[in-house]
Amino acid sequence: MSADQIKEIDLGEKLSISHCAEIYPQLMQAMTEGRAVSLNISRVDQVDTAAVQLLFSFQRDAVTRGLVTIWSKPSKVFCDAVDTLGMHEFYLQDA
Amino acid sequence: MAETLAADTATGWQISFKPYRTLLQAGHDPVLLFRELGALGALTVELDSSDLPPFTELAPQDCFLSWQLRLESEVSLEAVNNIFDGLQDDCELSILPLHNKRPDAEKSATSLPAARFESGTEREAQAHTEATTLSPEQAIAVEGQIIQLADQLYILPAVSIIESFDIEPDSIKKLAPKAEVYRLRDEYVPLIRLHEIFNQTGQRDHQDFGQLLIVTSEGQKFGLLVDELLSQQSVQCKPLETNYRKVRGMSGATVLDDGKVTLILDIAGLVDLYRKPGLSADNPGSQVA
Repeated sequence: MSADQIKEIDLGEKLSISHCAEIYPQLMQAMTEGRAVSLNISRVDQVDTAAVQLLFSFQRDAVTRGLVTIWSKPSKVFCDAVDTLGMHEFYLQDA
Repeated sequence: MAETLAADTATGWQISFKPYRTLLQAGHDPVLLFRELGALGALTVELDSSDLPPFTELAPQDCFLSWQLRLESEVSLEAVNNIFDGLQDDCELSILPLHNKRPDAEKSATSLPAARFESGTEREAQAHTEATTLSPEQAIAVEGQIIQLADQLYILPAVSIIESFDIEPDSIKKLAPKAEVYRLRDEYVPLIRLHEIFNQTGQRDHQDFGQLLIVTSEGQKFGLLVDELLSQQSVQCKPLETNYRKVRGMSGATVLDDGKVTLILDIAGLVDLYRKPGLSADNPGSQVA
């Protein structure tokens, strides 16, 4: 798989409900095109339930569709939020 | 086996938290709520994502997740309620004590018409009142706290009880012959002696020992003085009004595990009897079948 076949999305530092409307169409596009996605969550220093739910849902369906998802260096803040919500470490899965 | 026994005797709260889809848009964030809860004790979080739609149908700002939370802690119900204060319009919430929790207790809790708690609001009073007042047509499941008063047993809906402890006689202040208050930390709550309400003149009558249950009615706290707190049971409550007749201070009757018919107390009715001593508390006792 060449680099240009991978859709890279940098989720930045702030990952909250107000950013979901911006991220969702990007993820949706990747899913409908069947493209591999690389999600950079290494810089996330603020995250809420809406954002985690969005990414959890994406990963779940990406696995089902056989879509490749790369989670790059999840930040501690992100990992802690996932754990707090009682989710398994879905970002460790290779789809 | 040892772990199972330990879990059964743990002190704390079992919380069922089912957000409506509006919860996140209303500015509430379960991540922050659970961190606050976790600061109160050992918190176990179990996620239910069964309502989460396919990603292509997801409304990103709606909440589709719900949780079962187990908080092992000595904190009061009020402290747990405070965490969820302000969420009453955006979720279904039930909070049950962990101790003596039976497998069917959770099911019972979710079937309560108002197993919702909020602190310091009118909704608190409404919720507690609703939880202790039964519709005449229905028999509902109630997680009941069995109390002893002289030689009689009664049941209080467990959801009505904020906290309970051994009464400290020095904290009782007599304002008038029939009006007493109890100092509860930095506030005074009216003290209701159930012996007097039910005219039970047993040997413990007028003595200053026993258990004090802090309950609320119409937004005000009251202290109910009883002889002893016994176990909790999940019971089927039959309304008295349809099966017998309306009895002030009682909302229904049930049959305990040992086969005894026991009356279920109604907090709002008890407060009425306390405020208006002339009202009859005609205790039907064993006449109920």
